Amino acid sequence: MATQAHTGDEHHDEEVHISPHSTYYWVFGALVVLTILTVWTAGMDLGPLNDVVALGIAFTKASLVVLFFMHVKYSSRLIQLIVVGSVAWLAIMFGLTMIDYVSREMVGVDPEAVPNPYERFEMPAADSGHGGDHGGGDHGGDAAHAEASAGDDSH
Amino acid sequence: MSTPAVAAQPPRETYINTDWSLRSWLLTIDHKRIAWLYLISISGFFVLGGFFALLIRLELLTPAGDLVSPDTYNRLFTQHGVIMIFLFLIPSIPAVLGNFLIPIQIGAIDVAFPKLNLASWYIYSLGGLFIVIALATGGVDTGWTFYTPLSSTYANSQVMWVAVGVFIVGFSSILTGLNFLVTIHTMRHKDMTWGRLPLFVWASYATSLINVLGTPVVAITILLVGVERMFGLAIFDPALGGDPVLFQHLFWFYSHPAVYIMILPAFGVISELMAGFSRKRIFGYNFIAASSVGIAVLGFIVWAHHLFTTGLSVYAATVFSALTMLIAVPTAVKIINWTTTMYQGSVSWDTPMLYALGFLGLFLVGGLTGVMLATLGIDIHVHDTYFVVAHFHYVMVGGAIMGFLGGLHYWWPKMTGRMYPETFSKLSALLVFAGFNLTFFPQFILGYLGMPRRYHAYPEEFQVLNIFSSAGASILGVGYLLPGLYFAYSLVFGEKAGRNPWGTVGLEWQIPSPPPPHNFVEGEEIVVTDAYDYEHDLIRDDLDRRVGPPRDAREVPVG
Amino acid sequence: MGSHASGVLAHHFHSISQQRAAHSLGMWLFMAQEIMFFGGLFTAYVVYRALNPLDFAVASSELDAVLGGVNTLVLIASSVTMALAVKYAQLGKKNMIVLFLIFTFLFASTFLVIKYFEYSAKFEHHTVPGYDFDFHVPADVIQKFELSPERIATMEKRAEVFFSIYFAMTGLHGLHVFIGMCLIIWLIFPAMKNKFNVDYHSPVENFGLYWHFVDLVWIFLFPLLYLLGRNIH
Repeated sequence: MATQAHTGDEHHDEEVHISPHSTYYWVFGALVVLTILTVWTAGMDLGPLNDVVALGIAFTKASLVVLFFMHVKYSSRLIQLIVVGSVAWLAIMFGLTMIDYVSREMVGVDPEAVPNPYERFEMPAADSGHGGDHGGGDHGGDAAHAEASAGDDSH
Repeated sequence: MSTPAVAAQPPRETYINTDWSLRSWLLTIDHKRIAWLYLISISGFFVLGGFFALLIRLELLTPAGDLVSPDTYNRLFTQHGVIMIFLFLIPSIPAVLGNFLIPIQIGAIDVAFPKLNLASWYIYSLGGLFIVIALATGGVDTGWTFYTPLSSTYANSQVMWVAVGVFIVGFSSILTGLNFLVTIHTMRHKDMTWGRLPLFVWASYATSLINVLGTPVVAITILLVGVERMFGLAIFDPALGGDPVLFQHLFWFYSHPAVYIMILPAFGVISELMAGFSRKRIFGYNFIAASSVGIAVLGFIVWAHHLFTTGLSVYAATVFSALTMLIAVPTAVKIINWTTTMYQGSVSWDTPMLYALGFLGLFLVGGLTGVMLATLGIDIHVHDTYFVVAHFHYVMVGGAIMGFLGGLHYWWPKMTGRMYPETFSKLSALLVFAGFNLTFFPQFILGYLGMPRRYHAYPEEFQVLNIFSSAGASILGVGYLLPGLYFAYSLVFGEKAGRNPWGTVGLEWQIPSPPPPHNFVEGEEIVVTDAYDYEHDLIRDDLDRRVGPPRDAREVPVG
Repeated sequence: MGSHASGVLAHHFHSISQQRAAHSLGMWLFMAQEIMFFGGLFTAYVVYRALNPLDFAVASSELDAVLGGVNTLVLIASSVTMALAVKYAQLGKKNMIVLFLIFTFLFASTFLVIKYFEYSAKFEHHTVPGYDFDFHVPADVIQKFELSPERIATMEKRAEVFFSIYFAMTGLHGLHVFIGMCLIIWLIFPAMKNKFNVDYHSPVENFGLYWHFVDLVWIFLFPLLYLLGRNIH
């Protein structure tokens, strides 16, 4: 097997990291305390801060689990990169989706003042069967698509 | 080439002849055999998807909707899209060429998880089965994008079967991507550093990243459409308070990167072909490798350009338009580097190179029209017209399939140990190129003139261009049929290929064709150098020692 | 290649450390995949929550935060027992692996039992979307925010969106818990046969990652679904 001396990436995990019991106990304690804390703060009326506090506690708990239970604190750089990368990817998905929703209303034009473009077209009465024409009404899909785009103005 | 006479010796053990039983093929964990399982399945689906395309083009021969009913036509284009995208294009290069080549190119005897690799094929087949059942029981008519609320509430066709099928197939590509990433990270030969990886491996790496990070999002989205349809959960249906545009966001978060899943591996193939058939080190190796990963990352932040006309906020549209244009940068890096690689190389006109050159032209048109479509003003004008159809097919057929065929012609001798008839293969490359342009270039004009997509009838003034398109499609069909015939012919009657029929550099060309079961001959050293290092002394000696001097045709520089 | 003889090293790896690196990387990439899988649902949540903050808070106040909180503690406890099972696998202590896998299994079943009671309460209160859904905005909320009849109507409609997302998220999470329980049973047998040792414990270790991930999802689901409406009444 001389030709297949593989190494791949450098492996630093010859020594498996074994945490002492005490680590697991204090992380457990912290998680329980934080759970109680999050329930307690949720009962207070902090306005928008409620979300900040709840998410802050949730992220703290998640970091404890990831770092100590999942041993990411002692893992290779590659695995730490995967953790950070996945969270970054989630942030991309949340962030770029939300830039649509937060700016929907910022058109700067009164929607009522904009004429409905479809009013300019007179819809012919259903006269399907006339092949060469734009014969309306024969595409079930498009009717529903139109409804799809119309539906989003409901909020 | 100069393989010694084999008549006296017992046949060498290869991955093919090691066991002929059907059981040994269906339960194989050898990545090379799994590549064949995929090749056979995707070819079947390609023929099926092509059949639907044929019917579409037949219907569009005349302005009147006279061949099929509108409802049937909806099913035809949906099924063409679903099959070609989920069952052919996405697995085509990664699962066939990637499976066969990645372990060999990095000097490993298999992928990191061989059983998972086989499981991926079975998962793929199961998903394919669901989609075939949907076809057999009436088909599906929502378009391959499954837009809600049509798909979740209104469509009466077999949406559930197809949705479940796509969901399952998605996991096949997630697991294949995961397998490749781990393989490339952990299974490389000790001398195969990241800077030496062939560009096909880099491209596959980038593709696999998208598979792992993007595919789960479409899986959950399709799942949500399924539960909305089955149990009436209110997620996307505006009648229940949901937002259909959210479906489009989630769907395109995967499905835009998915076009890079389809095209990036083709980029990898073209890099191999350009270097190999110019017999020259590729120009700007680092830039091409980095641009693959760059496209994979950028591909994730441009998706909403599919939503420009569906109620997206204008500010978001502006942002996404600008981001989309960024993609042109890494893509242009590739095109420019390929062209520069040919400059002062000894370019040869073998069949794979013909496909690569065809790719270069077609993909350039496809890519540049992509920039046009990213422009907000133009997109509003040509949205949902044949302009978009033509752009998409220039990238997917002119890009991904040209790359797949080029790669298949390049590595066929390695996979089978046989050469195919050169005249026919060159003819087919020319037919595909000519037929393709005749089919799809008129569609740019049609789209710009305003012919909407997904309609079975159209005004009479569009007929001439549509006839061009349908005529081109029949030429294209012949062009695709030919390789099937001469590849089958070559399996039995083809000339023996030898280790390195093209005289190119790469670990796969240092081993016998077809390779032995564990890829490398026991006790034989392999030479790992920088990729495409034709000037390297070791490589030159090695090529001379193993395959003799390059073929005569190669010594005539072109240009 | 002595380790081949022990049956632990697969044929295509050349060392135990290479094999371990591959298994661990593979599992982490699978975790990345899982994050994106749930990520789609979280995106839906973020969007609808941002569009309808009050509606979500009112609908959320219908959920039983006490049961949710108890379930949070149960899952955290199961995460600790799982972490200890992994530790004993790293040390190769057979009996302790089995014991802590059983503890984890018991906590997981407790979680699902509590979930069952929560779900059945939803059926009784007609808060299951698509199944006889009938949500009424509580009178004190109407009074406090001076809601118009139209606003009440939209709020009742948006509540269906909230409960749809609630069922989609907790349902998918519950499915993961169930799959995890099956995997624990699947792990207990080789553990009893003493298959795991200092050299080879990737299955336990990787299942541990999966189980902690299930816990992680719940850590976010609990405040996002159960605690929104705690200050509304």
